Amino acid sequence: MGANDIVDLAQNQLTRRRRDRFISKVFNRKEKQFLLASTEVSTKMWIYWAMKESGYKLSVQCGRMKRFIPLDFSCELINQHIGSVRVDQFHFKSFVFQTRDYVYCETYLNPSERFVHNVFESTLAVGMTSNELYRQLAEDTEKRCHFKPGSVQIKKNVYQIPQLYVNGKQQPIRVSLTHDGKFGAYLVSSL
Amino acid sequence: MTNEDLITALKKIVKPYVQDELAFETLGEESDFIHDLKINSAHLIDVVLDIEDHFDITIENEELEKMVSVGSAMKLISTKIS
Repeated sequence: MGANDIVDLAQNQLTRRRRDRFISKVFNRKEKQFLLASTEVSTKMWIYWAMKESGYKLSVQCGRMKRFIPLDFSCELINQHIGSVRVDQFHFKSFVFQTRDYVYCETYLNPSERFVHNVFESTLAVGMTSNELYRQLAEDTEKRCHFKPGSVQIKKNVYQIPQLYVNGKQQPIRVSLTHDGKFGAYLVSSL
Repeated sequence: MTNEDLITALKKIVKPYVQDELAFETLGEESDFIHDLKINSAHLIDVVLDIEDHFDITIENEELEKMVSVGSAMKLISTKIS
């Protein structure tokens, strides 16, 4: 199982005061120490946020049906690209990708499971929408798996977890979607 | 402060973060910040910070889980300003 989260950095610029208040609400003592000692506090803050948020989505997939309380999730970066997220009895592994424009995180229960991902920029003036993300995932899946155009659909279940359908039949694969500002990304287990 | 005043103030605070305009038009005490108004988790923290500024109160970290709906936020604010 895996889940993802993306943060558009331009969309989420905060004043220093606001950023520090945000940090005080969301992160535990150890996380705060790490962030405030960092040379890029804002970027690292959004990396930790994306780790917590993707960890939350993964915890829902694992059956932890609670609301997202950021302080329930503790995260740690081992190096620039690899980290871990802990919540209750769960211990997840995270992979972080960072560009000048966004930070993107994938968090896994079992990192050896095969997943396909794509991060892309919106073609719309309003920025990335859920519909654009669904369409991109459907089109990419149709191409990758040689399905007929229009045969793949994405729908969310009652727990707001996205599911992939081919010709109206739900497929036994994991889907995680994220969008923020101009950017969107999907993460799907191999079909 | 009356409930009506509180809802009016909250409406102004959440407006920039709402992604479901239709739900915003019919916002009431039962409106859920995430499921109805489609406010994302990061912006829910922004709502908390804006509430603190507007009402000059502090919402403790352990109280964040009470920020589920407009009604529960109203209750939390009321206890702090009374």
